[in-house]
Amino acid sequence: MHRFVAHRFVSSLITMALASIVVFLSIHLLPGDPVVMVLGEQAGADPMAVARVRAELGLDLPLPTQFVRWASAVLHGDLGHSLRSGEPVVAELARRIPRSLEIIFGGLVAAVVFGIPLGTIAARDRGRVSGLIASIVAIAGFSAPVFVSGIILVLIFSLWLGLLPSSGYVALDDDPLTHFACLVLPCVAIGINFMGVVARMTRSSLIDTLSKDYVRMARAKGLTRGQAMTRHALPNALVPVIAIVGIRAGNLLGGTVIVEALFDWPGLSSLLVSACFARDYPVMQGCLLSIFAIFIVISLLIDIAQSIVDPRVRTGTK
Amino acid sequence: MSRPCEPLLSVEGLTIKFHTGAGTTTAIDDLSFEVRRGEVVCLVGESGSGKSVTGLSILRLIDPPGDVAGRVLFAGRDLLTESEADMTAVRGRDISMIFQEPMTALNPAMRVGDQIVEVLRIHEQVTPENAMARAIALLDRVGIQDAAVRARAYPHELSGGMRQRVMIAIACAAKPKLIIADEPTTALDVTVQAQVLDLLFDMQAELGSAMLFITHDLGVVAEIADHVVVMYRGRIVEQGPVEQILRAPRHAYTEALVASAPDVDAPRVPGRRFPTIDVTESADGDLPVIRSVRPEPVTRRAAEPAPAGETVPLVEIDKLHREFILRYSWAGRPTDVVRAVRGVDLAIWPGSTVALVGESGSGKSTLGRCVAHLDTPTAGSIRFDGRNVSALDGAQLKRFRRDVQTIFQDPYASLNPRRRIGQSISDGLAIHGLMSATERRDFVADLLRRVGLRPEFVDRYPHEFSGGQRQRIAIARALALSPRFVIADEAVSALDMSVRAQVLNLLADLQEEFGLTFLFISHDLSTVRQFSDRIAIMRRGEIVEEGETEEIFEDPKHEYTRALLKAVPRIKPGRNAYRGKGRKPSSATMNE
Amino acid sequence: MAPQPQTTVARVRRSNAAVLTAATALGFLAALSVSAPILIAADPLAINPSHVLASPDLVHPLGTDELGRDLLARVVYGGRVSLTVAAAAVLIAGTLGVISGVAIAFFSPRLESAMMRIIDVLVSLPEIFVAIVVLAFLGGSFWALIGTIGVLYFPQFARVAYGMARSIRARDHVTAAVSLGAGRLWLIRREILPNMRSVIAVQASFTFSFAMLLEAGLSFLGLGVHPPTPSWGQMIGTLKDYIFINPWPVLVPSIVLFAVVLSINVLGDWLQDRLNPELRR
Repeated sequence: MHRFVAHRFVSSLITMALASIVVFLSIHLLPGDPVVMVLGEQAGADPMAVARVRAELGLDLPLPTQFVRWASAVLHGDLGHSLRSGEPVVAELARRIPRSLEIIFGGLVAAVVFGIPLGTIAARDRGRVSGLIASIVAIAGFSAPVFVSGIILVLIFSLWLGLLPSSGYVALDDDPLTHFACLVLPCVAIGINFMGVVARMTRSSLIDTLSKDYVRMARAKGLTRGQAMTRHALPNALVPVIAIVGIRAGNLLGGTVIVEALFDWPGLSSLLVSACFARDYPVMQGCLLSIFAIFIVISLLIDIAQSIVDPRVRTGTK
Repeated sequence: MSRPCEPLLSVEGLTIKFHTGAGTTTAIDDLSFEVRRGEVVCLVGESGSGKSVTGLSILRLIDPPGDVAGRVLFAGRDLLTESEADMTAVRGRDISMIFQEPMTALNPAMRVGDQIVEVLRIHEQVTPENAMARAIALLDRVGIQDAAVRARAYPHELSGGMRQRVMIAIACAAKPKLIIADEPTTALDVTVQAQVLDLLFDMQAELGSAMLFITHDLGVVAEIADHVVVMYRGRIVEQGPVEQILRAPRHAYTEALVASAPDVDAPRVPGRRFPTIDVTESADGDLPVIRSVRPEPVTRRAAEPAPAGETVPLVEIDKLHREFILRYSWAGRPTDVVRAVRGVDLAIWPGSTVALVGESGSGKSTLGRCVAHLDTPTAGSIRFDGRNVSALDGAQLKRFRRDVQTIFQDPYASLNPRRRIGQSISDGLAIHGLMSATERRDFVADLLRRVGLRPEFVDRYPHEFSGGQRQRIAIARALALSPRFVIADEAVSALDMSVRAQVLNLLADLQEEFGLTFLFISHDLSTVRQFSDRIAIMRRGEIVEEGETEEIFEDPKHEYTRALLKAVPRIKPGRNAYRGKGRKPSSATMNE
Repeated sequence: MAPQPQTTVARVRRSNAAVLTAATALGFLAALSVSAPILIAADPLAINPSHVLASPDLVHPLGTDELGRDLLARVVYGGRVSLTVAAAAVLIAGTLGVISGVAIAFFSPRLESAMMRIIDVLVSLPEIFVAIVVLAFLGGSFWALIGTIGVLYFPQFARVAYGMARSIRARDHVTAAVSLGAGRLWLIRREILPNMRSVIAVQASFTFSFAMLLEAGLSFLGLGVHPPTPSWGQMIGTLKDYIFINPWPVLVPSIVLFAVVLSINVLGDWLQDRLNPELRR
């Protein structure tokens, strides 16, 4: 068990290192010149000024040297300064990351809490009305674009019922109640789609598991249908569900882009989008690096969760 | 032996229908039989006879759309009308079940000890500690060493035989009055099967339970049964005491079934054909009508193939090794190596049949693949017709591909589901650019006729055929290029006994007609005795013994050959090898 | 199992109402998109400042947007963009993916694991972030969208195709063809590709719906086709700001988009159940 975790941890670090190279290169290979950003169009025409800034930013050095300098700075917690505001990128990220994580976590919890029972009903009551309804809800959730479900939620809960704010952000320290009230709709909007993913995977995996001999065996031992389901079928059925949650965690992260734009939530993704439009290279690099890091950490957690549920993953005999 | 009077289980007029969108199919039709206390009743039938469904229906484990009617009286109660809550008390405590596949019948995510504890805790008031102590004692009882340690193992960490022992422990944990065993040893190697059967009947004798044993293997039936129920397509053909069923079957179907079961003790008669069953449905959908049973017709083969030494071998295998590297270390060194074939020498003379016999994992299929040049040996050489197979290329390799063909085990996987069978059969001709399109069509029609199929089938897809028919198609495909050497890798193992006999007869006829040389790979000693000239016994990648067929059977030199022979279930009525005290065949000599 | 013409008809008849509804809806929309210039009288680009954000009336059956443009015309023309982008992207992803997947399985035994490791990393990338960065620099346009989305989804196809090719190659009927003397191209053409057809069809149907969602999301963020050319995502992105003035206009493209994606997924599920019973096991 410990060996498995250590092994996965090391390979996560390697992936992170590779991802950082990709992030570094992608910024350097894309068209556009950061120097022009710093100086503005006017001064950018002056070759002397350009050369000066180039040297200041270290852009005149060979690419590998630049990477080493950048990477060592990153390891010391320095991601440079925003070209727009001049603020340290790390400070901005530190403010933004928790806000995005809130949405991801809330959406994930909503998706799992509703998705697994929904998928279980769909599998258990296959061929009956309840099962059909569960399947329809699951595929509808799976098909709903995040911004469509978001808009419908705003219409219902803000415009018509007036229960929740339609958008905006209030810091937790300022007003915890409003903070969480603002958080509800974004989380549900992102969770609905992911709930569809979880429910469908649960359904197909459970149908598969329910036909297995060991579930029949459990009933032949004298367990009730419900006991056979909860003790034998579900634990085994959830193994691929956890795996799919890991693979699709990217969708959840991707969903934050839309949700943050729709609900004016100042998180990591909206920072990335605005930095892209503004060609704010250090901020872009910082955002992408953080997104990869979040993604890799989620994958690591998923793998560990899977190894807890399924003994075969640990020993690598699957 | 007369039957004890009191029936424990009495099935009366059991009928099971499955209602689906496509209509209603009747899986079981008006089935009645009894199991008395302490008795072993065998349900025998070929695939599709409904024997497994019968077993499940007794425990009422048939889920919708299955519709069960009739009466299942157990100790005076009709199980079909009991409440679900009462049934959960019956399942596992009064009646327990053992499933066929030890790989899938244990929960892969639960320690085996906990799976035994579960039964005890459902049916008895025991503390977790006591239950675990009893589970460990049970594991010890079913012959699992280091039971306390193994109780903490997951199923995938145990071998197939050990898993089936765990299943037996689960089935016996609550001391049931009746054990239903659904082909419990079919998935196991023959030596392991002997040990598991030994254990099963030891436990049964100890608990005094009755047993309903479901199987397709008449050899097993002969060794264990008191009473036999023969099934065909959901109906009972006949039932009676084991001696009567095996010695004096009343129904022609039973007679044919018994006749077509291979007898490992019957000396080889060159050219003898296997008796076959030819079943047609009668018009009113009643019991099958047996058209013809053909036991031992004419000897067709004129002469034995040339004995060793007089001619040159067609295939010569010399110190062959094949290793598979499963894992490499960080430095790129192999750390996990399976040595599938270890220094095998074998010669095959033209026109002869050599059987390569071994249990699962013995390396026999790998060896076959190397000979067919479908796999590359790690070391050693194979010479076909004097040429080194590994060194073949270009025109020589093309020639080799025409001369050597393979027939595979699974008739469902060996034909391309997207190609018409005529295309599949003529593919070889197309690849080698032989014949014109019309010539090919005629040739394929001839081949189909030759393997006993209708030429009109040429434009059908594989899914329209039964397993036996598909195997005939695969044989036709192999013969299309007029090969000299055919490797049959478990080619009849997946087929029912009656179909198996037909396919074996066909292969023998074709060998006669085309002068073929066979390498016949099999795990089953009883089918190869009549079929092969020489036998090579393989174990753990090595050939432990090789010789003339009768020599091997009459005077086996190697202890493994002897153990293998001893473990084959004999269709000798009334032997009851596993019943009673003190008789424990084969398990003493063999370890898993 | 090979689909036979007569049984296909029987299956359609037996299949449930949801599938028929989905197929009809998609067929209707596709027909409408193709024949839009003939059927739709209104100009999707014509501005009418005196009639903005209107609910449906006789002149504008689906109402008007923030510049008074006819929503019915814009939804239909927007559908042309959304559907074409998704279809073209699936075509690119499918072609690239199947070719590379099969090629990796058949022609590079040495590089196999390394190549698949790369494909695995590409598959796990959150598509929308890569698309945002690329499109922010390339500038959103019809062709940039198609290219970006197509390339982003090709690794998924490659992985499916590779997995299928590997598993089919291990089947006995392929080994039998090898022992008949078949070469690699014969194997790919007659043994491998025909047997992965149905799996690829299912993958294509789901990729189609993912591609539509991705295109809509990018257009929603303003990274899609340039206004005034409409696309559903872009319309939603613009109209959502007027939700408190009149919620109707934003609902029109939202509901259409949802209905289309739902229909595609229903059909995809049906296809999967019909063609690949082995995937359900």
